[in-house]
Amino acid sequence: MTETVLSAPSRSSLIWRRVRENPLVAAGGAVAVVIVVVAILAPLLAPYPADAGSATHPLSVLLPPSASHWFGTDQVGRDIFSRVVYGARVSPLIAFFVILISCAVGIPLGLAAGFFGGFIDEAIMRVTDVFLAFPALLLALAFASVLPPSLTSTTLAITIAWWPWYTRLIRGQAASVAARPYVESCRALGISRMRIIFRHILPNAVTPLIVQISLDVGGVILTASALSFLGLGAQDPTPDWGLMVSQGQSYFTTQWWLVTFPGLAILITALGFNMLGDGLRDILDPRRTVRI
Amino acid sequence: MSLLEICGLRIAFGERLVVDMDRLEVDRAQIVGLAGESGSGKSMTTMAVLGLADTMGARVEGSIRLDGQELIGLPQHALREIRGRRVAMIFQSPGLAFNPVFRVGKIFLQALELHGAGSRSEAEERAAAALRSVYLSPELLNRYPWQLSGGQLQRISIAIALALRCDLLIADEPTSALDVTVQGDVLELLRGLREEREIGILFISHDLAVVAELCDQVAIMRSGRVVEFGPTDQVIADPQDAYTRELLAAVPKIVYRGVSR
Repeated sequence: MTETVLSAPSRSSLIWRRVRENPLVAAGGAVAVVIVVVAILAPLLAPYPADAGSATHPLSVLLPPSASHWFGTDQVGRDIFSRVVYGARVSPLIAFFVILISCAVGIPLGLAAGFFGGFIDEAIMRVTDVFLAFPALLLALAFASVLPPSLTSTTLAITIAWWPWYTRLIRGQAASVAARPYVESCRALGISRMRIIFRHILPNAVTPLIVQISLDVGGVILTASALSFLGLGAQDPTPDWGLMVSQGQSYFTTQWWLVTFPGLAILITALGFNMLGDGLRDILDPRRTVRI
Repeated sequence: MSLLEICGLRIAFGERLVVDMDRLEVDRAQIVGLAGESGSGKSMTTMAVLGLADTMGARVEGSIRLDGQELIGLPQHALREIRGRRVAMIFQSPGLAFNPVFRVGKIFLQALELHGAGSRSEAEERAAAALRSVYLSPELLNRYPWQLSGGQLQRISIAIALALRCDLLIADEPTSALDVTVQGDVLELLRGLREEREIGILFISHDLAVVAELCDQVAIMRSGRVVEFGPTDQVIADPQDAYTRELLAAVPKIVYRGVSR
């Protein structure tokens, strides 16, 4: 009883090592962390917290960037830096809920379709096909336009367009994992189907979904911004980045800062999460050699 | 009464009959070989014994009795009790038969807790004891499947079956994916199971050389039918069926060619 056996490195520690060695993930992860921190600390970081709301300052409208207003002021005199900081609480939060609800709906449906196959598969996948037949943005637009404009409606509208992608992704994975021998050996051990699905298939099917989610954060933020830009999403005075770009566009030729800074916030966020997603794909998929 | 009695088993996918087996019996402390070429219905037969054939969309008729209890027609929850506890299975590719996400011990303990180990500590004790009886260190339970060799994993599979205290072990080509020396170890373990624990083993293989070495009885299958069933020595020495003779002739022999000058 005194054999010495090398202690094995755990899977999570191997992944963590690769995370640190991958610049894409490091950069994307940093952006994600910064956004979360900014969103949480917004009241401390914003020099004029009241400007995130409906405050107006008629005497300081459309001021260019300066020491007191780093990003300048908008058409009613609100500090754009404060609004951009508070904006981290709007679109990223929409993205969070859209993805959360899409996963909650899409993953169980996809697992059921992939594992059981047959009629259940057909029924679920034909419904998702109907949703997938429309471009996501167009479908979200259609739903947003019939719902009263608000953040909840935006979230709901995008979710309706988003969940089928997760269902389809998980379905394909689940079907391929379900055919692997260890699922058969689980059955031969008398393990119940629910346990097989959630404990054995899901963990092996979830990797591409993690990648897709991190890529989608950027996509959802862009979609939410597009809806706001078109007047179907967040409404004034919500400090939403898309809405700020939309409201600033008529001033763009003369007061460039109204559009530029919220636009940059959207760009950096979407870019950051895309890099994170690409990097995670390299790390989590052993078949892909890491190329940068 | 035999441990496992298969009578008039017919398995069909739609119109296509893939297994049509008159009789097959496995006794306690007996190893019965089921040999035949790929696609002859060996694996479907094992699926039917486990009660998994109909979940694959097959129609199953006839009789499969375990200790006199009819398995065909039992509801899935009753079959789940039998799978694992009474009938265990080891697979051809041990490397693929373990979920790579979990440490080996987790799968081991999960199976034990599901099938009668009272407490966690009892399960751990039984797992460790079973591993030692297949000459492995219980420390291996902390490893992930991909950190172990095929031979180690196959021995762990056997240890799981041991710890579950099953009556019948179905071994589906358990040595085909292993190299020859490891193959010998695994066969030795299976023999030990027969002698010491009186487990009945249904040994599926396409390799007649292995079957001849290990099994007490052998059934030769071809396109779903058992063409020959009897004591191994008799079948090997005096095959009655043309197909059996063909299979025997196909076994490669080691011929000493002498030293070339």
